[in-house]
Amino acid sequence: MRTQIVLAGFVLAAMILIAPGSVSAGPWQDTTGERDMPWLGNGTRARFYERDTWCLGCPTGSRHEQHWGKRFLGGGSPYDTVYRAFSFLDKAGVLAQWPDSKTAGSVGGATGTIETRTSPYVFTVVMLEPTIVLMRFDLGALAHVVPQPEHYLLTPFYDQPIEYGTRIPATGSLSWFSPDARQTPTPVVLDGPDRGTITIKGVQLVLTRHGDDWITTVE
Amino acid sequence: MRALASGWVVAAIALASVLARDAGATQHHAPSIARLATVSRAGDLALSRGRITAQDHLDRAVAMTVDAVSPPGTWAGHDDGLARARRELARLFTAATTGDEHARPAWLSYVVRHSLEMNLDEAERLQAITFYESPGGSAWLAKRLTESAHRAFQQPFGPDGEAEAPLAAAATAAAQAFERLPADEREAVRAFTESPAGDRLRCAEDYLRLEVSDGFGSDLELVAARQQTEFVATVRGHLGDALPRSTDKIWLGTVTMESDRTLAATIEHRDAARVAGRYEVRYAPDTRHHADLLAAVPTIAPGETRQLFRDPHGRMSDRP
Repeated sequence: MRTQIVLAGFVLAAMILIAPGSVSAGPWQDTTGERDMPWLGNGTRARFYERDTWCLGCPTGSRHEQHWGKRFLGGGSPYDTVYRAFSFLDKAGVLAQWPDSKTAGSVGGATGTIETRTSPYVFTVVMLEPTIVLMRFDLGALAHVVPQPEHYLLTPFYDQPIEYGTRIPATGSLSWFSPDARQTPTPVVLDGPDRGTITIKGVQLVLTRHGDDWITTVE
Repeated sequence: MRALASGWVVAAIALASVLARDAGATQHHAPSIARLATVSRAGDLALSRGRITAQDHLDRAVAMTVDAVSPPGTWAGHDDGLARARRELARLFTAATTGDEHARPAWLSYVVRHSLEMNLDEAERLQAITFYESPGGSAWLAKRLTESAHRAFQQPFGPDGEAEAPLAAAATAAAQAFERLPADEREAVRAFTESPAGDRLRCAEDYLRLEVSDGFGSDLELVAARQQTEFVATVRGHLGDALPRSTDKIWLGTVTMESDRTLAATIEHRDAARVAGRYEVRYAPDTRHHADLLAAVPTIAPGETRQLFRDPHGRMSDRP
């Protein structure tokens, strides 16, 4: 009987180790460095965290994880942030108004097939908690000639990199949206030629024109 | 845990032994494969035919580099400069690849053997060997080899050291020798080429031609990636005023103002000189992005079409 219990324990342990997704996690590292990180609603800047985890059941045997936010535990994956933002646009019917990407096709998503879209906009995540995404009109996006920034994110909903940061080029009119405020794309309200504001959930994001750039701050 | 680790080790050893056995099996070729590779001159034929097919790859590499010399939308009024730039670039690419066709004998030997093994069974290979060793088969092969070599003259990847005349003379002589074959020999050639073995051999040769051509295509892309800046400078240095003015702007497409002042833009997503996607967007006068687009073409009038360019800062205009 005792032998059977020990054997069952070995089998159980082996199943846990081999099961897909089982991990042995390394420590989170703050890799923010020189990244231009988005704002947090509290007026501070988000941090970027990464770690590698061993994963016996995964195809490569390891997994690279990224988080952003105030702390590595509080924030989520940047890819989840972007996925959630574009999923919101999808459910709101915004993506259906944009052309299908001629180069990306479609991919399987959590809730069905995702038709990858393209548009004449460059997207920049400028704030987390609550999430605010700026959309800069640029026909170069349709031509896929907008230079790729050093750090960017990808989503199956869109066929080009999603930028993040606090500074964006002052070319083309600006719109924004926020999945957290259930706000679909809407023009940035300009208080003057060099200043605009976005207010959601008691947080005010201010855009100030400095030469060829818009610089965002939280007030 | 040790038991589990031991299990992994045993599995790894078993897998390694299976892989080793398979690797040994694939390295063992039937003697007929080597013999057929020799008598059919499959490698030589594939190189010449691959060079001819590689013309498409050369055209693409030239087109990519022409775009780098000056973007699309800027060549209007420079037809002569465009033609000369294409010729100059074709010459540069051809010179950069000269001699490369003989740079990979091991690879070529491998794909020849692989193709003959995959496409023909043992009986078909023996039939093909007999055919190529016959007077008719030999003359037919000589005709194809010399004709391909002549057609490949001055294509990329060639030696180009020899003059065209000897190649043309050899091709003519081989064609005449084939025409002079006795009727029964010519009938034997027809019978073989229309047989299942002949059909399989043609498949093997086409596979080889495409393998070689694709390899040349990859090489041309590599040359384009490594030497594009140098080639652009050379062409600009040689052709100077015949070319459009140098610009750092990128061509996006065209914009037309319709009769009701709606702006209709056609934007091209180009990938390696080919159109990967073409997108149409329309902005009526009362829409927000009409002003964005009109700022790029402020003097456009209804019925007019302008080119649309983007500078490195993201600003659009109708001038390169």
